[in-house]
Formats: sequence, C-alpha cells, structure tokens
Amino acid sequence: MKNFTLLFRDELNGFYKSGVMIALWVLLPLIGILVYFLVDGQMTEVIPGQEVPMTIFIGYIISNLGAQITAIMLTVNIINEKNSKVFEIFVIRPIRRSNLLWSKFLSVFLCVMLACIISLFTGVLVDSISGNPPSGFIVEKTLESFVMSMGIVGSFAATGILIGVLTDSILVGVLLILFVGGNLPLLPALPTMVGLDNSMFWSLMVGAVVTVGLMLLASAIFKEKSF
Amino acid sequence: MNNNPLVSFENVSKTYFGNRGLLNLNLELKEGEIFGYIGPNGAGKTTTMKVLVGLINKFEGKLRVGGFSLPRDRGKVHPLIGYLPQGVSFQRWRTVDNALRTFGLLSGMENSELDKVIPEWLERFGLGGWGKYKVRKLSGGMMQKVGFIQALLHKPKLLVLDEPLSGLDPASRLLLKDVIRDIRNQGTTVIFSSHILSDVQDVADRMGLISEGHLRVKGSLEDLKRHIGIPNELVVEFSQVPGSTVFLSEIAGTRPLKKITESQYKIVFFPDDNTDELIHQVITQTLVNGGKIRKAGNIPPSLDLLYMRFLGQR
Repeated sequence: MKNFTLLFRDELNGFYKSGVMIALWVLLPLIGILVYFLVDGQMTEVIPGQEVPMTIFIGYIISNLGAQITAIMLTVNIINEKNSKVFEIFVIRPIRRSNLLWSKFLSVFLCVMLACIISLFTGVLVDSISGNPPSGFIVEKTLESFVMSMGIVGSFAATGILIGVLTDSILVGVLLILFVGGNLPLLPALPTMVGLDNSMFWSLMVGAVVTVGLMLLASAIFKEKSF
Repeated sequence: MNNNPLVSFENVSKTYFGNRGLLNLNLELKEGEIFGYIGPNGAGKTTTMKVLVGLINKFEGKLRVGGFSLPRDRGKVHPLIGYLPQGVSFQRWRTVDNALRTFGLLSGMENSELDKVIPEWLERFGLGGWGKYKVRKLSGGMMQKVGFIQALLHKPKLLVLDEPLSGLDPASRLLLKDVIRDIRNQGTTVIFSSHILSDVQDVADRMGLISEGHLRVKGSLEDLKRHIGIPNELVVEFSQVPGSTVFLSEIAGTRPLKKITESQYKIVFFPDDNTDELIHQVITQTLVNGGKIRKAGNIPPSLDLLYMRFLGQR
C-alpha cells in the first residue's frame, strides 16, 4: 500500500509537472464553451422550446473529448515508458506490477474528473451569466451527465491502459483507440441512451464493471509481460 | 570472495519466435565476485541480464538467485538486485534527486537515509549540485551515472550492469571501475557486460565469452588464455643492439621469432615453456654479444587479442 501511494503521488506529480493537468483543467472547459457557441442554435432540444443548456452540452463534450484524450494520453505514456526503458527500472523493484498501472489510471482519472467538474461548473456559470440559471431538472440532467461521463472516462482510461500494454507503437496505439477501442467504453452511456429507469445508477455500474474488467485484464497481461 | 553461489543458471535457454537468444546457459556467480560478460552484438548478453533481473519471465531451465527461484519468486528476488539497463532513461519531468529518491523509496529505503546517501553518491560521481536539475538537462554520460546510482543506492546483494561504461569519458570509466571494486569489497556480487575489453580485464575476477547465444568459455583471464590457446610472448628491447642477434634464433628454436624494430624482437612461447629460463638465456646472451637490454618481459595476451582470436575461431 505504501508503494502504491508513492506511485500514485508520483504519477500525479508527473502530470502536474508535465503541464498535462493544467492543460486539461483549462483547455477542456474552454473547448466546451467554444464548441457550444460555434454550434449555437443547431442543438437538439432537451426541454421543449429550449435550446440545450451549456451545462448539459459540456457534459457531452467532456464524455467524448475528455475520455478520448485520457485514453490517448495513457496509451502514449505507457508506450513511451516501455520503449524508453523507464519501466525496466520500475518493474525490478519489490512492487506489484499492477500498481504501476493502477496508479497511472487513478491519477489520470482524478485529473480528468476534476477537469470535468471544472468544465461543468463553467457551464453552470455561463448559463447563469447569460440569464438562464440551471433549473432542478437541468441540475439532475447535469449530474446524470457527469456520472455517465465518469463511467465513459473510466472505461476509456482502462482501454487506453490495455492498448498501451499490448502495443509498442504509438501510431498503432492511437489508431486502436480511435477506431477500435472507442466502442467498448461507450457502454456506460447505454442506460441513459435507452432511457432505463435509474439510468445514473446503471451507468455507474456498467462503467465500473467495464473499467475494472479492462484494468484486471491489462494487469494480468502486464504481470506476465517481458521487457 | 565467498564460494557460495548467489546466482545459479542451469541450462537456461530463451528463444525469440524460434530464433536463438540464449542457449543452455550454465553459470554460477559467487558472492562478492565481479563477473565480466563479453560478446559481440546480438550474442545474448542483454538477454542473460534481463532473465537474471526478472524482466524476461518465460525461459527454459532453472535460475536461482539468493536461494529463490526465478520467475516464480520474482517478488523475493527483486529486493536483492540492482539493475542498470543499457541506455537507461528516466521520465523527463523528474529532477535527479526526485528520480533517485523515488527508486530508493520503492526499494524500501527511508527518506531520512536517502537525504544522506543521495548527495554523497552524487558528489562521488561528480554530480554534486545537480540534484535539483531535471534529468532532461543531463548529458548521456551524466544520465548513465545517475542510472548507476539508482542501481546501487539500496545496497543490493547482486548488481547487474548492462554496458555500464559505454558513453563515459576515460575519467568517468576509471571512477566507475573504482566504485564497482568498492562495492564488490563490501560483499556485493557484480555482473556486467562491456564492449571495452580492457575495462573487463581491469575489474573482473572472472569473465565469460558468449557468442550466438552460447556461453563458450568462462573463467579467469588465465583460463581463457588456456582455452583459446594463445601463449605468452617474450618481448625484448635493446638499448644497445648486440653485434649479432643470431643467438635469438638459436634460443627461439622452432618458436616463432619476429623482429618488430631494429632494437625490438618478439618470441612467442610454447604453452609448456619454462619462460623464466628462456628470458634468462636471452639476457645472458645479449650481454655476451655486447648488447644492453632496456626491457625484457613475459607479456600475456591482452583480452582484446583473446577476444579477436575467439571470434576468429567461431
């Protein structure tokens, strides 16, 4: 546990120092706002007679963009560390190999979750400033959107880690995420898309199962991997 | 040096998709010895190192380190080893101090201990004051030194070094060889590979020559000489050349005699020669013939020569 805490802190430190964390926290909300105004008036209505509020829109943007960024970031990170032999001096330490993956996953997940919260708050702020403060219905939808986003981000992150473990080529890794790995992580969105009762709970459950399943698979492969 | 084997390879083989990597390696490393590993590119040196530190999990044969079996007891073996891979690298955002501290902590050291030893090692390697710099600012040689420090920081029982001296200037190579000897004297077993054969000759207690995945020969320099069959040479240099040098041919008999310069000759000994007696005869006859000797010596073949002959034989 001590080693896991150390690795987790270390990964957070790495994301902070490499500037990725700041970029996510600033760029993700900005991209959301920018896209919202670019597609102004062309959005599907959530409440009859009303355009999609910024709050919900940003939730969807994060689900797609943030999650893909997360997956690509993790894949590239793992492939780079494999190819540059950084992993070689980690895995010969008395630590569980899976801790290396889980610490990466949790640190990136935490960073993106904070980026999502910041983005959603930015959405609420923009809606409020533009004289359209979020109603109870919108807040509920936002929360649902956030939970679904987290399910998707978690699943994408786990997919990114699995693909990073499996391949040694950054190009192949990124292509796999964009064209193959993009389907499985969308499972957590299904309960919302099909309109299940208590969809928030089911999104959370499906997201957790997919994420943990993929992470366990990646850990099992990584444990036996030769370098 | 203790005679107990710390490492024991028994018929260890590793193939890559049917191609040889390592074939039937049998090797024991004793506690507190330095073993030099020599061979051409692609011979199997790095594969051996990776199998030994648990980076390669699937291989045939038996490998024991410190009484534990690899790969099964990988978790018990890892606290015993330090490893410097060829072309070591760290995450670019790390500072030198952060990199060493992280690996020290992961190896079970405490922060208070690291506060003391990291500056000491950096100072010893001429990197005092570099602790706060990002590793990306380091030159290749400096990176190699930091890699070396991370491998030995936690005082491992077995230090595995893959090409530790490559990319280093002569002064740094001397320093690293001193450090390797020091840690051997503290009881650590060291195995290292190198292309710089004089370095292996300088520090290794025993050495092994590997080619095409086979460890062809192992032992001391004397053992290697015997195995490869290169005899010593008598090199004699006159400060005053004798009136006649015919006596050299008479002493040499059927042994090869070569005139290197006007004042320098070489006789290649037979393996069972009484070299002291031959040298005595050369000195005596030089004086009888009015010559003076600047130097005369029994020169063993260099490791470079053994290595080249060994490759030629293959």
